[in-house]
Amino acid sequence: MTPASENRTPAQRMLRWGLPVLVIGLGLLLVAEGYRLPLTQAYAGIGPGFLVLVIGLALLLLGAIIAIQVARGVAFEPEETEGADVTAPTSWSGLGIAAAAIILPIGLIGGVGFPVAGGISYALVTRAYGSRSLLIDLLIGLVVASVTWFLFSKLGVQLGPYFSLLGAR
Amino acid sequence: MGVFEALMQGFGVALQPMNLLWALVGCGLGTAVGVLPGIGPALTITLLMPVTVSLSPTAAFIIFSGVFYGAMYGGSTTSILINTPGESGSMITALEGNKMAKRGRGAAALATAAIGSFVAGTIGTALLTVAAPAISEIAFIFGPAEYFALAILAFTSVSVVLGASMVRGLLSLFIGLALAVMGTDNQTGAARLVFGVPELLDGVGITIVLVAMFAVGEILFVASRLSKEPQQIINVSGPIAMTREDWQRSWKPWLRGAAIGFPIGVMPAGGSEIPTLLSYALERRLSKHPEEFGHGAIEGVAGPEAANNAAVAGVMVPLLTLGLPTSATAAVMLAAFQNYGLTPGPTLFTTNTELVWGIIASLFIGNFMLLVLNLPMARVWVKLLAIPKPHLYAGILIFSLVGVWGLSQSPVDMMLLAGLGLLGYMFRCHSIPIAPALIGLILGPMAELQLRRALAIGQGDPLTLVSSPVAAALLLAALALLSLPLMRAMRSR
Repeated sequence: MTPASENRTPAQRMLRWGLPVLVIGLGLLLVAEGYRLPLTQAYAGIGPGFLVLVIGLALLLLGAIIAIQVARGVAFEPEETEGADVTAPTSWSGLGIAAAAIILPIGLIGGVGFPVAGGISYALVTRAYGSRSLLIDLLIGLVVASVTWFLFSKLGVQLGPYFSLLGAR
Repeated sequence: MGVFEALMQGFGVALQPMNLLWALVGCGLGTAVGVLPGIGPALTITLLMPVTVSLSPTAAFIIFSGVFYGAMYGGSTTSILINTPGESGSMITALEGNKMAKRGRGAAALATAAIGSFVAGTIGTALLTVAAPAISEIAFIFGPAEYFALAILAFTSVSVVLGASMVRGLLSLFIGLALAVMGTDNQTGAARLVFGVPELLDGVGITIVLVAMFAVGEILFVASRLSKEPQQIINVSGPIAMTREDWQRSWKPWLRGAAIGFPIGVMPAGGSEIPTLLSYALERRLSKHPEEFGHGAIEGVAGPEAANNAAVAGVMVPLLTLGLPTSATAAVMLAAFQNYGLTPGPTLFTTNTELVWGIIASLFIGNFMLLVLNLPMARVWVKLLAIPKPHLYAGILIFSLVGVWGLSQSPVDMMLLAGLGLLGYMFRCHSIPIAPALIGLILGPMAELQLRRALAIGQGDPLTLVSSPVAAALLLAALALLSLPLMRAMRSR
């Protein structure tokens, strides 16, 4: 189950450094922000920057420990999840299409309204999960998103107009 | 007012026809999400929050409690019939229960799981009834220093206990704390980690973080490593019942499971994984048929299932009495309390008696409903798994978009959803537990507020934090928890 680290391609070995780099970057961001804010305050002793600084330093420390672990070859295996085969190699196309389904609505949902944007995202997710009938999925997605829009609007959740053309709210 | 009268008053609330209906809705939803992959009780409650704003808090929490309890029942059904635990507390059930089902004893496994869950859940709720008011009395002596120490203990224990390693648990916690400090500082009005984006001045919404980390992270992760193997659902023939021998072999594990599960659930970072493991180990040692373990021993289903449900009742104790969540679902419920402007804690028992006792009474009722819903209908719930996976996960995304877009129709929220969803994907790729991040996010502001209050009272002297014996003991316990894995590592060298 555990793939031996020597079986990894150079790209996979590079990817292993993603986590420590991200954590250290986040730590630096918080440390900088902590120093920008007042660290102390009259009476209470600590100001708004104090905790930000402490969290930043903790993240730097943890990032350093994880970097050492990665260098030593400690396995960071994915966790078992229902419906996922953690021993399978990462399917970048599956991940990419699913990510598109999540990133597209950022611009789309305000532009064309919830049902259309939701329907498109729906079809993308079904595609990422191996469905090959894109048109039918798109149709199902539009129906599901429309019904959801209608029901939740009835329940008092504000989801915007049913259909809007770029900016026309 | 005595506990008994208070509870009777609670039943008066919970037995109102509308509230019974809400309990049924919650139990049904909970069982369904327990059966389905990709969606758990924490996410369900998050997505229900915007819908329930128009309901009274009592009705909302009756639904939430039903979801919380129901997910445990649904999880055990799928563990037994297809060997995929719907939630982490049912891992052990999958071990023995699935073997039982393969040997044609699926009906007995389902029965002992459901009846054991009912027995232990009822015992756990009864213990909650007695313990909660008592603990809430003690909590009245808690000042800022004690609350701060309690939060630190919860932080450390959640990070140390959950997940593959302490480093990853702490990483999750500090990422949650970093998200918690974003936005306007309550005390000074200073903008923290806002980067000039006005939408971030209110901080990152708990709903966005939850939906992103649980739903979006899961959708991305499963899409990237889709299992090609079709699921094998084991057919169960005959009525779901137990033989005389099954009863004899089950009742003691049920009681022992309840005895293990409840106290561990009460402790900070109890959760439901540890009690199920402990119960399994105990039953294996005490069993007259140790050779059956690993091949479908009924004790190995009865004990852990009971422990699991008693632990869920236990988790409600610190949540209701101290406002201290010790699991992801409890953290979400705390957030829901905050949404209603309620502060769980000792005062809740005196100011909102109807709400608190209504919730507790509905736990008794919900447990009974779940037994009725699950014992004869286990086969019906499994039919939910016929939903094709592409459409199941696409549907989860639609509900996630409703949950986030419905907040304020803000593109910034959608960006946060995507960004934090990718973070949730990374968490899964590296086996980083999500619960510590949630607890950091939800308890972080409380911890900071109490720390500042305590220091203000002590005029800035940090020793004030350890000047009371309770606070000192809690901090010492946190320190001991942190040093435990280190000492173990030293010894093994």
